[in-house]
Amino acid sequence: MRILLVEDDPEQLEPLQVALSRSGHIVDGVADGATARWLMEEKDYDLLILDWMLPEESGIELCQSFRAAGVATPTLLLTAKDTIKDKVTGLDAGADDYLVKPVDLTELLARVRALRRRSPLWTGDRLELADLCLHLDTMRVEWGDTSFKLSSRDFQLLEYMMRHPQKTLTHAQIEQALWSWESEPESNAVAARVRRLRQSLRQIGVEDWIQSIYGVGYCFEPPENPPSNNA
Amino acid sequence: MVWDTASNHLRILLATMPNRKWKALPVRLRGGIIIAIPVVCLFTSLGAFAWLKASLEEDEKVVQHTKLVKLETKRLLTALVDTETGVRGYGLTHREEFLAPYNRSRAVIPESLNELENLVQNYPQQKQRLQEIRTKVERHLEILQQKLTLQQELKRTRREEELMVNTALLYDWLEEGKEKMNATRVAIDDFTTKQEQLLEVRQQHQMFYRQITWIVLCLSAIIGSLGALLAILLFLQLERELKARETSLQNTNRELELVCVQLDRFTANASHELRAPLAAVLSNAQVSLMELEDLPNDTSFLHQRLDKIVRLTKNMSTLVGDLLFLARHESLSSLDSLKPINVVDLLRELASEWKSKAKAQHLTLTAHLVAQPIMVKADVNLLRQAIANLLSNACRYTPTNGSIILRLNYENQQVKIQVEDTGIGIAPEFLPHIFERFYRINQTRTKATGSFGLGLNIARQIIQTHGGQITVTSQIGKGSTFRIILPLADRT
Repeated sequence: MRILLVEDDPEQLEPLQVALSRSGHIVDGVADGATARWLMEEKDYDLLILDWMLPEESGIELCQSFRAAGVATPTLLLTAKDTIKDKVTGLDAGADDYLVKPVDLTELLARVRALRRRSPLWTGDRLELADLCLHLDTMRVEWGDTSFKLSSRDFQLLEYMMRHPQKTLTHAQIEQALWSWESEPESNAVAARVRRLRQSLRQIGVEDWIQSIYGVGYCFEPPENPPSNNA
Repeated sequence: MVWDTASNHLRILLATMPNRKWKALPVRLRGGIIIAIPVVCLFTSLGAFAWLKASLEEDEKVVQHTKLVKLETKRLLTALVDTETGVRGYGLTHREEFLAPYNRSRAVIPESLNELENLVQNYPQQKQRLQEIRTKVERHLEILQQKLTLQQELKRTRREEELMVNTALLYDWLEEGKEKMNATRVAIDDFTTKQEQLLEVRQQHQMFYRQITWIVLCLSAIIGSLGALLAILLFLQLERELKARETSLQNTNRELELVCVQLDRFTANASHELRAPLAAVLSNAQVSLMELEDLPNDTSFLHQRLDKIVRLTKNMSTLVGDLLFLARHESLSSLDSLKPINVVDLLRELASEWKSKAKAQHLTLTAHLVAQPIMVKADVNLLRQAIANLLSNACRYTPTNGSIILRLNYENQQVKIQVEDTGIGIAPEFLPHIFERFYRINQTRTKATGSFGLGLNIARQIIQTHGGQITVTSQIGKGSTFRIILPLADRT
């Protein structure tokens, strides 16, 4: 899931970003409203997490203007403002959820999952392709009787590929989808991540589903006759 | 000009007077005094005038009276002279017509005497003199009567000789009568002189009082003016003072409003500044915990430390929340946002929420509520927090397998909410202090259970802003009962 996180305090932004990434989300962390606006126009997000007190433009104003522009993306306000009045103001501005800082990360992640379920793009808690099943909440891969947990990076890549099966995905597309906006991936970064995912998938023997298309990119394609689960 | 100087003098007088004492008096009393000054002046002048007028009237009456006495005395004297002349004329001529004035006067004299006696009744000296006059007059009249009788007898018996013979004798009689007459006259004159003297005294008295009246008139005019001036000055001073007081009140009000706004801003800023680092600490610790899971080695000792950081940060966050709450609601003496709410619904909600929390600590929570709705005027969030604080305390200080009861009943326009526990209880010497801020009975005990001693203080503050009371009874080792009493809302 792609999340836009707006928080002006880098001390708070960084751990949140890490925690969300570790749960398999791709997080664009920005410190001000202007950048957030620009990114909202550039990319599609599944979730917005806004701080209230931001320099220049408050999170409330951002939320209101997004809602006025017809943006339906689920929005969570994460703020130090704790009075009932503040909560009412925040929710009335169009936020879907309201959390008071300091927030327990397990709670935040649970709320994020809950909000994902409410997203118009929600297709369920898991992705299934042939007999391969990916649990989005737990980052586990299920293949017959075997089930194991993927690292967040592998999970992000597999989720992206399973959402776009039988399509040629270029290096640029993958970079665009999996790296957050400010990071500059090295030239072989995509190849390295694909190699790592293949390694993880080797234990259930489905590493060949990721086919390399030389000079272009990759394609995720389950074979016509998938090998039996016990193979 | 005169007014100005006078008012200036008065102002100086007022300034030097025990002004501070005057200013310390309550406004109502000062207003009363200001009104009283002219009223007292008015009544004093009226009283003085009434007294003077009465005195003058009395003098007038006495003067009139004395004049009457003089008139009457004159009449008496005339009557006496008439008798004298009448008898003398008869003695000389023996003609009956001379007796007519005599007889007339004889009738007049007792009348006159009685009248005089009546008039001088209030003057014992004069009365005495009159008594003497009366005796003399009677004696004189008696002699005259004797003479007359004698002459008439003589006339009857020896008509001719008598007339000749008794001329010398007659002369003597006449002389004697004259002397008697003169003595009487002297007595009457004396009486009259005395009366004259009395009149003079009275007239002097009257004169004196007339002068006094003028003086009193002038004095009361002066005192009245001064009194009015004083009253006006005091009134102006009072008005100035009230105006100053109003201005200072308005200023205070403005300052208070400013302070309120500042407090609002402060709590908002403090909330942000205190929570931001806590949020960073908590997130970092929790991210580290997540990252630990990826390490292959045994990291349980690190895990424990990070867990501790997480727990302490959460406690700190609760403390910050509590302190901000107190800072926000401290200045509120009453809330305007009170709405009638059904307290049964609130308690039912709280009971179901806390049942699971109690169960996690191996405690049983039971709720004894009533079926019908009970309305209380309250801010539902605040009231919920107050009761939750009590429930949280009950959970914290009740050992495993204990029980907690949330009870609701109502009587006499009051709602009683009770939280009873079978906990460790509170010693009687600590009971009066447990609602104080940061008060902790036992440092070690509280540290172990992670409380800062603000929960009960917050609960009490909330209940007091709702116009209610919170009380506690407790027995060491048996448990404690916290009781919230709230006024029942009018059923409208």
